[in-house]
Amino acid sequence: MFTSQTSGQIEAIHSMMASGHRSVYMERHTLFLWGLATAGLILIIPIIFSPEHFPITVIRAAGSTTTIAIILMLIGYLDFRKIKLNRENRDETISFIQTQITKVWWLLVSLIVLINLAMHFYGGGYMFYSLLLTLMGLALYIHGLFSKQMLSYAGIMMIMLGLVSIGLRLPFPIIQWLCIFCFGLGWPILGITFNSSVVSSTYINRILFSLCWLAIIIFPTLVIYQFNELKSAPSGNTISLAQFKQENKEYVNKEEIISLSAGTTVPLIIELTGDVFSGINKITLPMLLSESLDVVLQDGKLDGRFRVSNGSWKEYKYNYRIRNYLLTPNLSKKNGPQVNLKLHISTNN
Amino acid sequence: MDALTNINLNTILHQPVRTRIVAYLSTRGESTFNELKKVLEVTDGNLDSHLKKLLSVKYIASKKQAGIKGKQQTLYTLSKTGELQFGNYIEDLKRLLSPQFSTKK
Repeated sequence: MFTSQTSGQIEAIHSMMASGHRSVYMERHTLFLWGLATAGLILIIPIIFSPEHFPITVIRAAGSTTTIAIILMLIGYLDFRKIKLNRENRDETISFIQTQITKVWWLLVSLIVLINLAMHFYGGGYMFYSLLLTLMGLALYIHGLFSKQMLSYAGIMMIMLGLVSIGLRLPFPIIQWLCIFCFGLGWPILGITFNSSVVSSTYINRILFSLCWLAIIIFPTLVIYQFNELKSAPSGNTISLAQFKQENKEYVNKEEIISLSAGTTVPLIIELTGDVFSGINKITLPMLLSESLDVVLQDGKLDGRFRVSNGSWKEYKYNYRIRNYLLTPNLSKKNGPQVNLKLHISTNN
Repeated sequence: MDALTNINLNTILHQPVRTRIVAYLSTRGESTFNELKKVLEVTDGNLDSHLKKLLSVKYIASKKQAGIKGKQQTLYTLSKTGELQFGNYIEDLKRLLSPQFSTKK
């Protein structure tokens, strides 16, 4: 009798301490604010801070990072103020644990901003949106551990999206659209539904909702990517390189496809500079095309669209990568000082 | 029975509602009257009397804080004394659950 009373008292203490720990919850507006702002930034920043508008890397990096940081700080402030107001209206407080989780959230957001800055100088931009999905997924997952389980499920889905997009080497524009739809559509939908008792009542319901949520993000991504692919297919006539060289006409609002057959010589002009080198730094390598290549001329200038061996049309800025970059300095008695440079140019993501 | 009587359970904390208030505040940090009422599922009067009891022995502290709109909020936190007494109380409960007492039913 006495032991059962004591056990009951200890159980009550455990239960209340757990309640204190789990007294964290995400306000609906948080997912709307952060989601829409992030989607907006993903859409706008690459357009405003493009290499065409800001050719100097330092200025482009500083400009985009400062803009992102200011907007996110503003969003963070608005979010915090709205949370405080909501809690005050309900005569509630922000718990100690929630304050700590907010700090982790901010830490992950700061990490994303820093990665964005670093990638301007050290490369790896292809991975940025995958990292964004993974890190913000982690932020949701951590929040969900202390509040609503549905947030953890959505966090896991985002982490999986981020990792799978890199693992499957998805084209850069697809990952970008995934991010836009995940934050711009997925987060507001999550904001509306994550509190629903129907959605989070059972394990099966949570899994089903997570899969539906994933489909809501993936489906429009595929539609818009397909639409862009169709739009990027050129409508002009196809002519050979020889015909193009013989042509003598003005190009006004005209689209033309130039077909370069396999074996065509493409001089690759390499210009190298460095703080310890001087002298001739420009060489031309007579590269041969291993496969046929079609390029599009718009008003007499390359517009960036291409296709390899009659495959699908691609945009140059999204579909080339330099892989296996290796710079090896050597010093031998036979050759003296020597620097070997190896790199592999790929048009396939 | 002698050993059992040697353990003097804290009479302030050895009351279900007060134990739960102190346990909740120990992990929650600070809390308002409404939050405590919602978690403990007790009436205003009941909660008020238990809070007054805990305040009188300085196990908890209260402070008034102005919000964004200027609205005053009363926040309850666990004091150092309360933290210490709560720790001792849990130790006493554990001792009561130890094998030497479990036979005393």
